[in-house]
Amino acid sequence: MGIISVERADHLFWIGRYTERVFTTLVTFFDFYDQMIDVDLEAYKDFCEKVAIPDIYRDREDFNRRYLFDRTDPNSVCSNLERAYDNGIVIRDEISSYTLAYLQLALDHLEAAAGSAAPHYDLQQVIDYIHAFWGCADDRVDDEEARNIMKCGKYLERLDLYLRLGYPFRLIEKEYSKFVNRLGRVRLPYDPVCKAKLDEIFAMGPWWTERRGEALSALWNFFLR
Amino acid sequence: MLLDLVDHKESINRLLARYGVKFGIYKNHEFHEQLFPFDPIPRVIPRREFDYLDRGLSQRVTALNCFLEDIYSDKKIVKDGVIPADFIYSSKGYLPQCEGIRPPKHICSHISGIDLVQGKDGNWYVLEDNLRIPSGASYPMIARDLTRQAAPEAFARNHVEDNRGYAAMLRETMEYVSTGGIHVVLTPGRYNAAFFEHSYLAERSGSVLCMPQDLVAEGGKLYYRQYEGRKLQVGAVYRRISDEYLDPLTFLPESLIGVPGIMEVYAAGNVAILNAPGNGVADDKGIYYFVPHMIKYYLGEEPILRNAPTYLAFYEKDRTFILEHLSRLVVKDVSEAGGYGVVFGSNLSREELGALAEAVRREPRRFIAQEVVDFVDLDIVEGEARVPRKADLRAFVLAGETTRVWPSGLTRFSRNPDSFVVNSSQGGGFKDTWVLSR
Amino acid sequence: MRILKVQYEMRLAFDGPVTDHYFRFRCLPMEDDAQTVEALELHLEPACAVRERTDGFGSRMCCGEILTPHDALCVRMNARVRVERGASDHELRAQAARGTGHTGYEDANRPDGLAAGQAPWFLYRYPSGLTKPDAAMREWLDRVRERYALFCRAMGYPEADRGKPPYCGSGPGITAEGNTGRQEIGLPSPDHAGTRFPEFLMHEVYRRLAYAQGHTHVGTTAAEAFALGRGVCQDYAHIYVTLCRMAGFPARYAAGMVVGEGATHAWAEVWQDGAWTAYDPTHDCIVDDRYVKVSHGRDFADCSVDRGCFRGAAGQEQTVYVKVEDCAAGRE
Repeated sequence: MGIISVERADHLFWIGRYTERVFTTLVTFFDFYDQMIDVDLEAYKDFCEKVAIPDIYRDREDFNRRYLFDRTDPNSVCSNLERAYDNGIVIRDEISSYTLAYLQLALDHLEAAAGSAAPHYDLQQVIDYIHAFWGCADDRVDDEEARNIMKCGKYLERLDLYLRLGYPFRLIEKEYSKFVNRLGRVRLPYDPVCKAKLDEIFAMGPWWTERRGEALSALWNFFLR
Repeated sequence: MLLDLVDHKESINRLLARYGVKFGIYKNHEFHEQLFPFDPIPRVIPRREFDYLDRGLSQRVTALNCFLEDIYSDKKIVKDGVIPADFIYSSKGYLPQCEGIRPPKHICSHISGIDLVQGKDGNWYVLEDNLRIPSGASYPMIARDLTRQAAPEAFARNHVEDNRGYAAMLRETMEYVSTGGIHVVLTPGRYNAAFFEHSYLAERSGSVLCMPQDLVAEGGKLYYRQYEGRKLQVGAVYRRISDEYLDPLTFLPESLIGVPGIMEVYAAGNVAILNAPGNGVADDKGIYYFVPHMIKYYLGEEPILRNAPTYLAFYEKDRTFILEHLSRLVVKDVSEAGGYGVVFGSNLSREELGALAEAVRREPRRFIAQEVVDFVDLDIVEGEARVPRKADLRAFVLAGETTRVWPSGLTRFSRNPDSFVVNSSQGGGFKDTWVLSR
Repeated sequence: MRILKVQYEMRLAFDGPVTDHYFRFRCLPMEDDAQTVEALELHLEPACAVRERTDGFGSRMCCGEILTPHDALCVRMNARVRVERGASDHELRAQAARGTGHTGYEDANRPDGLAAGQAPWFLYRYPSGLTKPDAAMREWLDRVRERYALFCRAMGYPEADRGKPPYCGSGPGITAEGNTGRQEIGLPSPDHAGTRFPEFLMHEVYRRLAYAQGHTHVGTTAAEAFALGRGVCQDYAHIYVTLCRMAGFPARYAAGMVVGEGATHAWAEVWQDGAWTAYDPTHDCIVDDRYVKVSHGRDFADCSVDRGCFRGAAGQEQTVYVKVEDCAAGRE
């Protein structure tokens, strides 16, 4: 059994969440980026609305630059990656220097890519580093409970984004079962009412979308703080 | 023989960046982290020379530990008139709150950082003892890890002592003094200049990196609070928080980074704190003068290592000498630290010399003066060229069951050709230190 | 000799529930040459375990913590203390010192007063956080010295004929401005065995200040209170201790209770002729056996009766009840 304080549990959980937020929003960003080339120049507005961040962007170019690289924008990919790193550096001894290095590399790479003419090519590397991060975590984070807390954060964040972005039900169902699986292996206090509600909503199958708001709020309130 | 290393300078620095080998500095009240520049040419210490340093450093730290234990208990060295009381009780580092506390296994300075330079005459001189929270061991450790990867040939051909055993030495020291329970590295937090080191040493020594709020004193014992409510007893705390912030009930009441009650647990002998609070009394610049006396007094031995020739303005004979030779000496204000309050007489104008002499006359207790040691330069790589720079050596001495010197050390160099100041906060870089195994 | 019955009660009331409350009380009568504690009861509410230890200054400290929510904490202490301390002890010692020329200063490394595991008298030669002097205090002290010289001459004391006394700051002395606690302080020479200067200084301090509540607070420094010219016993003690140290006499802050006073009291102790002599500048007298000491240190910060920290409600109110009775007097 690991040696995990409240503070540390928090960092493990949030490193999972932020890393996942960077990953899924970056992947999604590419879809919207593709559309904005010649289909819908203002697709980013839809993106902002879906992931519930304020649309503070002047236009497509402004979005492309600031959403990715602007450190002063708290919702940017860069800010989220910094937060993932900040959560990681204080638990270096738990996740190992090897694992942490992938966040450092991702961050350094994102910084170097700022302002690049072809973010597609440059950012693929960031996604690769995040894949490597999780692979390394599986190998190098010795404590199973610590690893499971990270994954709880990861799958909770992924579910949240999938629900918001309207991902197909089969993917949501799969992520939910992964989440529940990890949940059973940690001792994080959670609200059983939220859990029951989510079970009920996802049992509806593809019609879950009728209760999207409820599902999101159950996720939001899932863990007792 | 070191060509491989020089060729790989870039790749080594890239690896250092990958692992976030940084130190923090505050600029305009904002925290910045910067890479600690690494120079690939190591300082090489031949075996015989290291054996000499090993004996001298162990002896010195053993005596300093005797001194610390004595000062907070029997005060024999004061009673016997070896060190004037004034140098102890007017020192900022003397903490009356630590009187009467017997640290576990009677060790006060578990991790000592002794700063040395090698003079052009080949002799090593001790410049300073750091017995509070000496930092820097992590840098040569990780640099070694990475240079071995980048230039394996250099290590295959030379016989270099592996310095990565530092983590094990640290763990053994903690185990030896532990009162039973887990071991933690207590950091004030992410925005500390040496945070990289805190987290890296915790990882490597198998300790738990913790923040003050993770610890709780209860019923005279110290615990680590687990997230699901259980408490684990803590047996040894390698704290990287300075004395005055350690416990708001004992020291600064406004400290928010302390652990309330930790000093009481410590005083009761229920937890080991590395290094012991109150050690500052022994690394005061004024006390430095007396270290050779301590070695004779406590150990009955002749000091193996030399101090830089030092004069104490407190003593009339020394004061006369200082005032006569002011222009060639370096004068240090004992109340300052970190490279401040150090004046080279040779850099001063007539008026400035006069003012300094006056200050020495007025407050003799405040000043020590030393001969300027002309220390050897080490080559560093700058662009395509190799250029000589001033460098010192911080040796790490660990006191546990025995007192041992880490076969390596932090070699810091000044990047500015005219500067003697090698402090990392003033832009210096570092080198690995190779101790040859034969 | 007196037997004193001491009652002390302190109640801390918080605005709301607090948790992780750690406390250190220094309210138990000290055991030393002058005081013998014959009976002692300590009661806490809410009840909790208390561990006693001696702090680095030699005061008794009660340590404890209440981690669960509570909104008040009450400490009650009842003690019976035998006190044998009198002005005459001081005078006898001073006379003896005058006879032998022995002061306890002639050798800075004298073994006396260097108790194992306790801050020795050397420590009390230096300014501390609340006892840093300023130029005004120094100037005033110079005038006191002049008056003292006149006084000695008038009384025919030999001190008057010994030139400028070293405790007046000759040699590598203290400077009032920017004193960081590191400067050396000139010590009285053997010539000044049995000197009456500390007592003279006490009278001067008493006359210089006006006792008034509400003008100073627990964090007021000696220099601030001196500038105000008024304060309470804590300020009197700080000012007196500061001046003594400037004049070369090791001096420490003492806290405790006195017969007939409904609050805690503070005074000072001066290392003189190889022992501590206690002076009460607030009452302008030498401390006798109506006083019960609970702590001493460099200044108030080392002696606060209650030092603690907690999480939760911002405000707290402290009420203290003190009663010291002379048992013998009560029976008569």
